[in-house]
Amino acid sequence: MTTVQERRKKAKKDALLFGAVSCALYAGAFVYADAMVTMFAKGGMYTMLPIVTVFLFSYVHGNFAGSVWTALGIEASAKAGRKTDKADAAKRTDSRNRATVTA
Amino acid sequence: MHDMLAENLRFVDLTLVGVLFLFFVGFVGGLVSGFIGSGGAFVLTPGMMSLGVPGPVAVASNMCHKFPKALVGAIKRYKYGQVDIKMGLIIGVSAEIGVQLGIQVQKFILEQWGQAGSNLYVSVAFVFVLVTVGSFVLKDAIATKRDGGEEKVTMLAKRLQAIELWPMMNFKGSGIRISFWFTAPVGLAAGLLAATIAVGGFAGVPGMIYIIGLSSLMASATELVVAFVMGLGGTMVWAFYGMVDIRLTLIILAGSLFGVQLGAIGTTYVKDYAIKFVMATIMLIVAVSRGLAMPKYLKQLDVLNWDGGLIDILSKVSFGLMCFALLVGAFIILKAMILGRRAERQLEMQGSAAARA
Repeated sequence: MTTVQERRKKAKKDALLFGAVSCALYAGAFVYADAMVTMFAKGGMYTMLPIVTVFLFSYVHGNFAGSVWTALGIEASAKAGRKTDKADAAKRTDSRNRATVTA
Repeated sequence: MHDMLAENLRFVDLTLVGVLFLFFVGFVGGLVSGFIGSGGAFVLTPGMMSLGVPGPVAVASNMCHKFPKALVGAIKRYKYGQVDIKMGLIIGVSAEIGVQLGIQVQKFILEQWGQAGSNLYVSVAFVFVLVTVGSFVLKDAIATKRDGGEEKVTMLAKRLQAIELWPMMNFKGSGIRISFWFTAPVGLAAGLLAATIAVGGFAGVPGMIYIIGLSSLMASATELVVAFVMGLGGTMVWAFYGMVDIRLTLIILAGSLFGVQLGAIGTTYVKDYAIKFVMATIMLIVAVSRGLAMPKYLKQLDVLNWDGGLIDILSKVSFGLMCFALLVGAFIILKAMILGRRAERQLEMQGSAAARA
């Protein structure tokens, strides 16, 4: 089971990694902004270019943003998680004893 | 067609202030979208237009940022058990037809009346939809809060669910069984609106709540799936005509991906009717804002002969009101989130104190 500290530590690492890649992508996009705008405005054969671009940016920058919030301790209410756990627990019909480890 | 549209359109020069403005609006727009399922666009589209971006480029660039943002928000809210994926996909596909219809209308208006006519059409649609739907949703939110805060399925939704009209569909996510013929019009209206003012959610979310019978929480989360499906389809058409200004899209996306995830987190701390409150409040303020911007376009079309100074003042007040709507929306969401977190922490501390005792 992941503790809050472990989760935040991983989020900090992810934020640094995805943040660096996101910065590089944005820097590249604005260095070549004029060329990109001209090419994407052609439409027709170039229709997929803006779509592929935003998918790439949203994956990298989306992971960065999510990791930043988690690293800052801004996370969903514990109730949101507990609801799902309860629903899953209710679905369990196997009444056999579960294996446990006693340390 | 493509050449003619391209000749009518110009990509604006971006200043640092413009970039920071778009980032900020993107963040708050994302926050609102993550919370109520849509709504960022109604601020972003006029926001870009106020920077001098032509209406269709503003709608296209906004739509191009909307679908990846909606995808990120939908994934986040799915983890909280709030999304009915099947419902979202079905409404999204029917909304695609509405989007295509809306795009044809926009193109026709641009060809007939040029840029001012297109801007005026977008503003009129904004005011009409936001006033009508916003007033209804606000009235309902006040009534729900007065009755104890628990949402009830509307009589209309119950009656529609009881009608056995082939093909009937079961939605496991929300536990609803309803005919396809009652979900399709909701999607169609959402798509038509999305292609016009880039905010399909103001037809989609109320439609899912009042016609289909979803809770506000689930409707707003499912709307993100709808927004993804129709945003992707709509973007493909706009991109085909070369209307997407990728710089605007990427700047807005930078802010909105932070906002949408924060908004999604915020939904886990509030009651359902809070979503209606936020939606209605912002809609009504922005409706007034867009109403004040209309004389400018009417003058450009020689329909109105008001003094230029007065029109300038009205445009500035309109812009100020739009910013006010943004701040009000952000304030309500963040306040609800902070209060919810504080209450949860207090409960946790009381729980651990009781366990120690």
